Amino acid sequence: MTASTMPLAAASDRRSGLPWGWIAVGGVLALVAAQVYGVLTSPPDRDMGHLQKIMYLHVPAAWNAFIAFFVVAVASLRYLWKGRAADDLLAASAAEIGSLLTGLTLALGMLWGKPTWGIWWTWEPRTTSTAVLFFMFLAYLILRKFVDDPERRAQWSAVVGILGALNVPIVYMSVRWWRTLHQVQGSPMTLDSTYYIPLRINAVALMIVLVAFIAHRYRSAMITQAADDLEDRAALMEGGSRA
Amino acid sequence: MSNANGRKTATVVIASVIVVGAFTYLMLGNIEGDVVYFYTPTELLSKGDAAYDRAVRLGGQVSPGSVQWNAEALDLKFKVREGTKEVLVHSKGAPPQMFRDGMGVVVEGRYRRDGVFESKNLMIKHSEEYRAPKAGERPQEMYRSLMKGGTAS
Amino acid sequence: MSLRDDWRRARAVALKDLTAERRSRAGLNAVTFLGVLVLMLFGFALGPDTEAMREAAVGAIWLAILFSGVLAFNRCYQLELDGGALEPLLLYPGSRWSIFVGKVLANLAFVFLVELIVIPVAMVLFHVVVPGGALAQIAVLVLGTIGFVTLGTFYAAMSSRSRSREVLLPLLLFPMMIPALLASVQASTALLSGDLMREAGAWVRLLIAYDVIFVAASLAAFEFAIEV
Repeated sequence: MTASTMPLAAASDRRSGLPWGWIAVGGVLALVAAQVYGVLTSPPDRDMGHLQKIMYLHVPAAWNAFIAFFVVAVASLRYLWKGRAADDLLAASAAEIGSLLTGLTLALGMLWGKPTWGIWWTWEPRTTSTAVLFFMFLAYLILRKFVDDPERRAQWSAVVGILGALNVPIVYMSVRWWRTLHQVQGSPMTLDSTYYIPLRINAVALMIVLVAFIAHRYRSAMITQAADDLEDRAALMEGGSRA
Repeated sequence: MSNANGRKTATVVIASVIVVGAFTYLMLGNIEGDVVYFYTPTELLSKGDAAYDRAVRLGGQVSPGSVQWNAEALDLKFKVREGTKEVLVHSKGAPPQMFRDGMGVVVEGRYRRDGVFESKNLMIKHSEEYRAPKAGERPQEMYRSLMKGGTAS
Repeated sequence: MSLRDDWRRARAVALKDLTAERRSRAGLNAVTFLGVLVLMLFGFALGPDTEAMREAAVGAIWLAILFSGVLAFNRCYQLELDGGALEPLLLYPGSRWSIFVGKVLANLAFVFLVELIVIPVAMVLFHVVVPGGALAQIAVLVLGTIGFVTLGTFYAAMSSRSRSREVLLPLLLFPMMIPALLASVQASTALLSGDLMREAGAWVRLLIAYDVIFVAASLAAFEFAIEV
């Protein structure tokens, strides 16, 4: 009995590592403060007016979605390398938040695109690639729901995650491959510092939220798995004592 | 078993090398090569017969003073200019909010034989700069007035 | 030496699958029929405007191929799964990717046969005229099909052994196909209208890189997907 409680104990031990609840609260507060700061300090853009403020959530969401996808890819590779279930759960947690942020990026991009480009949606490579990324995240999460055996689910989703990650560089490179209407990625050169500084602050604040979210989902996935293991063992022992 | 694992590792290593090589080609191989994202009016006019009735994109500046906007019929006519050459563009539907004289635009459509470019899609080519307005500049006034009140001068 | 053995195994798997297919023929007939049906539906959906139909023809062809081809990929594992023959097949000595290569070759032959019917039908239905340069068109078609069949065969190795496989395969496969679909359709359409904007070359280069990346990646990944 003491042996079978070990995974649960190990899982709950992780809780004492860092105060993730407080980090999450702090991250959300920092994000709100950064949004307020951005809206209040930066003047309206010469062409777009206050629409430019959408940038402060749109761009950080896109950056952080890429970070999440990077976590999925690395954790998937590590799973195939080492075969540890924890890496699989980390990848799944990052995919959940990543799909949320990608969806947010797309929605905000559409809201921004209508007044500036005159269209909700443009079939332009970077927009399109972001949508592809979103669909791959969703397919990844749906695959996980459709496969019951934990080992099979872990191995298959790792493989799907890695192949999906190979598509991501296309998102980055598409700006160089095709001359498009979409703005080339902003840099301090083309962006006044009044816009660039709030953008940076917002990105960091959102990243704290991202990490806290991943940590939370990861921890609860670990605990769920430990509970499942415990249940299996209890069932086994019961069967054994009966025999 | 170790033999099978060794072969698996070898497959993964070889595949990784090939994948990295293909990505290097994509990044450094200049694959967009000689793609023309849009023709300027000069280029379009110099194509002569070959340019008529084919799906092309035309880009340039909205020639100042050329915009004729019929708000009732949602009918827009303007000239796209680059250098000294101009092409008359006809488009249906309301233009994007940022559409105004001197703005960079790209239109998708066909160059008809009567010398009018029939646009199916009108896009603003926004500059890559985000700048605060200069003193005295009212950012949104210009295209608002265009959207509301008939012809811009 | 070992590579030649792998090749012989791949060929054996391909021939086995094709023989089974030839004996029943039900699969090929049904899948081709579906492809033609999709084209008909496109024709009705796009209306009587000949010009609009001609412009959409390449896209319609590719969607017909995608929707009909995706049915074939799950089928190619179904025979083995029904007969409980997948485990014995995996227990044979030698590398497992030769099984994958064999399946890909059989599916390639299958999809090419479907295309052989679907594309001429589409050209008639949509009034497509190829203005010379048919060889370039065929090259685009072959490159696109290689990417489609490789990834389709790979994802089917997983989806065919999961719950609700009919839904899962397109969900996994179609998002991955978007770059290849985009490249194939754009290249073909550009070639059809004389390639004035000189886009076809870039799209074909992209398509080649895409094929190389995903053929290599799915060959390596197949070992991981099939072992559990």
